[in-house]
Amino acid sequence: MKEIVAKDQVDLGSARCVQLAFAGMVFRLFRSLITVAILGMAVAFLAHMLAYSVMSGESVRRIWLELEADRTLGVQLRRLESPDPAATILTHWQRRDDSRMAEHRAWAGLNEADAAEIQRIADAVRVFERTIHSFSPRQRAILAGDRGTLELLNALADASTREAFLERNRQLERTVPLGSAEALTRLAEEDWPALQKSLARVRAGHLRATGTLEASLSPQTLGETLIATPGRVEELAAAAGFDLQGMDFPRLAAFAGDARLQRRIEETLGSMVIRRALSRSLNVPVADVHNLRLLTWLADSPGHAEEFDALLAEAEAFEPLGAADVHRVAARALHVRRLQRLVPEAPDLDAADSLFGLDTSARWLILLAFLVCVIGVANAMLMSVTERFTEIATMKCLGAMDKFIMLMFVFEAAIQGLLGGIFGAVLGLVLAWIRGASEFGNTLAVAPVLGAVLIAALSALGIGILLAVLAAVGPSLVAARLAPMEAMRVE
Amino acid sequence: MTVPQPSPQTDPAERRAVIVRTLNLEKVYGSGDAATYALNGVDSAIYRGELIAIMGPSGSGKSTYFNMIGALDAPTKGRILIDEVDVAQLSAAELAFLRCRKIGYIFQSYNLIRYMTALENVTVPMTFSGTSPEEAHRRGMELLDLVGLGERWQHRPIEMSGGQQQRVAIARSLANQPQILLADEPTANLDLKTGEEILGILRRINEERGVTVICSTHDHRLLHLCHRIMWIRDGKVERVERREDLRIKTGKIGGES
Repeated sequence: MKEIVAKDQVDLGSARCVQLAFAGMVFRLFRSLITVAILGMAVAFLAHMLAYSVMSGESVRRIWLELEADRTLGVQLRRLESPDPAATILTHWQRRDDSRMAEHRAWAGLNEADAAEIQRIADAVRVFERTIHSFSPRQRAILAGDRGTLELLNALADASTREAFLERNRQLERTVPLGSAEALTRLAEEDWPALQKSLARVRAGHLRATGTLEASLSPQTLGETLIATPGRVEELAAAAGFDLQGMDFPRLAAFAGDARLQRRIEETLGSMVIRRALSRSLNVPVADVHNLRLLTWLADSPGHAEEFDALLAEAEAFEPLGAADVHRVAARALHVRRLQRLVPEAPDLDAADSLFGLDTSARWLILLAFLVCVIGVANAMLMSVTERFTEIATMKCLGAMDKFIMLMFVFEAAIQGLLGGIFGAVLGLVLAWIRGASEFGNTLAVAPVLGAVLIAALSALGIGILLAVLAAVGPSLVAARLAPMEAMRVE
Repeated sequence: MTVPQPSPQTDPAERRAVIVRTLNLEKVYGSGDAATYALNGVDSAIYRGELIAIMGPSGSGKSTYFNMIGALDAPTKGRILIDEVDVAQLSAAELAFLRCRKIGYIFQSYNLIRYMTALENVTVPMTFSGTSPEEAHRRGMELLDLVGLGERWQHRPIEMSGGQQQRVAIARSLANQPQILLADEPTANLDLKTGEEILGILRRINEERGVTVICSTHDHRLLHLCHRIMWIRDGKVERVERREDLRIKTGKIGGES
């Protein structure tokens, strides 16, 4: 008997696999397109979620910064007019706002030791607040009722209230805020009243400073002087003991001017003559002439602003306000209103750094979409494999190796993933853009995050291919393991 | 090892080189009481260059035997030697090599790949054997000419009749110059005349190229073209007859002598 002289079958390159996979796909075009569409939808979903998240996150950040700039100017203006509430002063100390703290020390005549004492108690109060906030809302309600933490601190100065509080705290099996009952007692009975006294002193000092400033500006109001001669206000404010760090007086003046103009526009609605005239111009009942409608109308076109000025001149109740400024201020006011509606509260700016800023529910949604997609594609691939049993077995009879068959189906899936991915990524970007534009309008940030958006689309595309291949693994194994004798079976 | 004598029916004068030999071949489906013997100790030998018909009723084990000698299925017991190589000892890659180059398969339902043209179908096995595309194209066209379909190389299976498809399948089975052609009921799906053409082509290939043709069939016309007939019944080789003997015993069968 001869020696066994069998040789190994040649291992074919991937190129031929791709070629065969492609030919098979084109032949079953309709079914392939459905698979491509399923993959495309999943990729579109992901690309849309990622791209929208990136764009909206950046838009929200920019809007918030713009609103914040306005808010800062407002705070600075108020500070020159009236003293801060005690809670705000406390916050400045807790945040270690050096410029404010220096002001407070000057106004209240605090020495180093006083300042250190305020700092110490302010920190202790912060620890107390933090602990209370670490309780769940239900637990907080049990402990504090509807009192805020500072009110709660006031109430704890009373020994019986404090006992009850500690008892409820024990029942909740939580550590005592500040660690021990003694520390709490000391804060509530001694430190917190002492701090409140210091805060009151600071407040009184601030009140004196605003009084000094007002007196030196008299008879003009702060606003009027600021708009006319911001430099003078700056000098006088410095003389009154205000720390002017970070205060841009020309900007502050512009802000105050705009605010005053807006107030004066709104005041015109107090006159019945103006309301009637506006009702005719706006073509609405007098009862429907309100601030927002007026501002919208004025922002609409400079012509309307001129018409409005003419109305004022005619009515003789108000002096004309200047059409160009009226138009600008109205437009600005509407813009800010819209921004405030878009971003009503401070966004979590850190969240944007992780995973394109997707929140947990979005991540689960995406996972679910992927699962549905993988199952759908796996089902389609399995059907494709099942109806090609004869073809696969025949190929094996003709010398195809298991690996070749396996690769053929994996490549088929990968090609479908690629096609679906490209289609889906483009669709997803378009959808994200439409959604973003409809929500943010011209405040949608696209250009600054274009890189991240493209990365989002490419990741979605990559994941699409990955999903397709993942879905194909099972069916491909079924195909690869098929016995070649299946080719002999006659249906 | 000692090679047992071929089955006793074989005429010593016919003794030539053996290309397929089975030794005490058994195939059992199930186990214990439920065990069914599809093949129950088959010893057989098929000679190089002969055209042999394998006949037997359904359920006789004919298909199982056929799959075994085509290296498509592994026996429960016994050995299969194809060109003196023990099939049971081959690795998956070696089996693929064997199927690709030693054996050409022809199926009852042609099994052409639907999305490929006639030429592409014929060259698939050449791809698997690593033949260059130019060489494959040249040889594929030659083979299509051989079966009379040189003009239709661009047609897809759906555009061809059953007879034409089977002829493409024959051309494909010859792609890598196999020594054995394994035809499973090649005429069962065809009308009489077309079936006859197919049998003629198989006979011609056998004569001109010296390829061993093993043909499982119910088609009695084949009895006049083949050298020997192997009858399988109840999982055993019932008898093996030479055509001459058959004619003496049964006289004329079918329409021609």
